[in-house]
Amino acid sequence: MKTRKYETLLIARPEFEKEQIEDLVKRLSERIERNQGKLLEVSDWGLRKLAYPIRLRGEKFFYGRYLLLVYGGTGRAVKELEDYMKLIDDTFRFNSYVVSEEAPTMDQAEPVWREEVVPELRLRDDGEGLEVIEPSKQRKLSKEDLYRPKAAEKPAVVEAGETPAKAAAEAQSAAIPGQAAPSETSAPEPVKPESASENDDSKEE
Amino acid sequence: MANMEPEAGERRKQYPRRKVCRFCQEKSQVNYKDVRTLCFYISEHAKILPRRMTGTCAKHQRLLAKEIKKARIMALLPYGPPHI
Repeated sequence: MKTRKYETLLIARPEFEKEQIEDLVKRLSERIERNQGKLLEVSDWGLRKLAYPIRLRGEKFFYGRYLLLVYGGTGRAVKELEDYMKLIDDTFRFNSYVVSEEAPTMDQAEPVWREEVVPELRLRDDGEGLEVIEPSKQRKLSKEDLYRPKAAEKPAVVEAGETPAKAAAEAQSAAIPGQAAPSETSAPEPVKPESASENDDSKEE
Repeated sequence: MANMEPEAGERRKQYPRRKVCRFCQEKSQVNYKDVRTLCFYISEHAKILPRRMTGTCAKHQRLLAKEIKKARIMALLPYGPPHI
């Protein structure tokens, strides 16, 4: 099989720390080296917000850790790498592409680690169109941010909206229990006989 | 025929500047990882803009469409406007 230069962009779980990422890369590089390949470069894009939420086995992810692996090897190495990533739960999306048809030099002992910050694309605050957020303006995400803040706020807002309405309804019923009930029940009662009598009259006429 | 000629004091019709393919001009390649460049070629509803609006040449428009779709798969670009 022909040796080429490939790259694989993968999204790992958002809660992964540096050590877990290194462990994941180590396991992945083993799969490449089994097929006479070599991991050349690892580019860590860090924690990013996904353009849309991704579901995997009942879990919904809003953030992800992006990793770009550049390696030399044959198509078999790519196949085994992808098959392995399908089995594990550490990665939830990946794609491999050919960088160049020429075989790279695979002399280096250890892969080169780089940290890259890629701008994010988000909806503008006014809701009109998308905007690119440059790396300098990007907010550093903490672990707490992984759990969507909006989702946590929503139920609290709904409860707050419901409770005053319920309280107001209870207060009304408590304040005038005797007056409110008969007025509601008595109002439709006189209508029925009138309407019935009118109908009777019309029939008689 | 006399009416067709611009009268004295009347401004001549201004033609918009001719659009050029950015990739041909800069001799750069389209890449799915370059979100900053791809953002220029999608609308506010995240649709791929037509050639007549961006001025991209036919060759690069084909490549651009492919790269935007690659970026969408990797959740770098959205498929459509977000649901609120």
